[in-house]
Amino acid sequence: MLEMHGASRLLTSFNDAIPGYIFAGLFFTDEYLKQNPQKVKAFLRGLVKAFNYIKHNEKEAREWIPKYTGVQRDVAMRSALRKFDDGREPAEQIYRQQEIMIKIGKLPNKIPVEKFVDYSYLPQKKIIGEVK
Amino acid sequence: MNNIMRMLIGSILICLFINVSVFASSEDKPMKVTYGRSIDDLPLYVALEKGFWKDECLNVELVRLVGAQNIIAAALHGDIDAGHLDPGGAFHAALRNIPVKIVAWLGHAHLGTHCGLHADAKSDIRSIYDLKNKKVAESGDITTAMILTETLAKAGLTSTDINSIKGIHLDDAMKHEAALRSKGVDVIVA
Repeated sequence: MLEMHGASRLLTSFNDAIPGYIFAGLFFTDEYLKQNPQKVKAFLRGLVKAFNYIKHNEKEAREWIPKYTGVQRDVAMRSALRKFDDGREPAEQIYRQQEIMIKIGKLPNKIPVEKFVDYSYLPQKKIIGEVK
Repeated sequence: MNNIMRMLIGSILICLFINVSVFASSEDKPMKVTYGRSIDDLPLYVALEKGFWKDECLNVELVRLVGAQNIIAAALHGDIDAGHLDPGGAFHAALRNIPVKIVAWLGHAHLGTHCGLHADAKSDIRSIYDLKNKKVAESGDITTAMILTETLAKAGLTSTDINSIKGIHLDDAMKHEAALRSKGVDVIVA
């Protein structure tokens, strides 16, 4: 966004620093998952459809950015988007990010991925058709 | 007898009405999901606008909330149903045995990613090798600490080689621009 206003020059990106850097995840409480597994699955089906929609209809998808963020349309249409796949990320990448945190003193030790990640509510790729 | 029958049927109908109302209100209760009001939340906007959740008979409401601790607290308190966390927040939640699970990740960096270290366009800072002794503004959160540390290492530098100014957040685009233009900082992690 800064570059678009002519204010800055990108020296290096997050991807240059940590390739494939995972930005964020979406969580539910264990209790909610236990009590509402079908709702969570339905929610994730909708979310993965949105990932696919953005992949195949990026321009149309970007049109909704101003409404929800207040960002100007010209910026919304040109800003870099994250890469959205199917909601899963390789465990190796998650551990790589943990290792960097440990190195800089932000995490005491490695934490098994299965302790805080559960992909079982996500749809299989074959079930969700691509929305075009 | 007729009066007794009428009272009995009336009571049954009232009970049925109450039960149906409770069921209906729980079904109509929106699923509250946090978002940061940023471009990065685009999948949430798309799912709402395209009716992907409506097709699943879900009534989803986006709730703006930021800060891992606030979001986790809101979830544990039942104020929200789902929340977003950066990986650092997720690792620390797991470390403290907080009963939450990441069920999907919301995107990753790629070759076209433009989040990163931005220098004033008019400055003489051309690459990461020019960062020594420069004023670098960052939020101070785990994500920027990671990116900055890895970048400095690539340039053969450490955090002691720069003048780090903490407290500027990734989603404060207007502040970033103002800070660069005022020459208050040389580089922003944004």
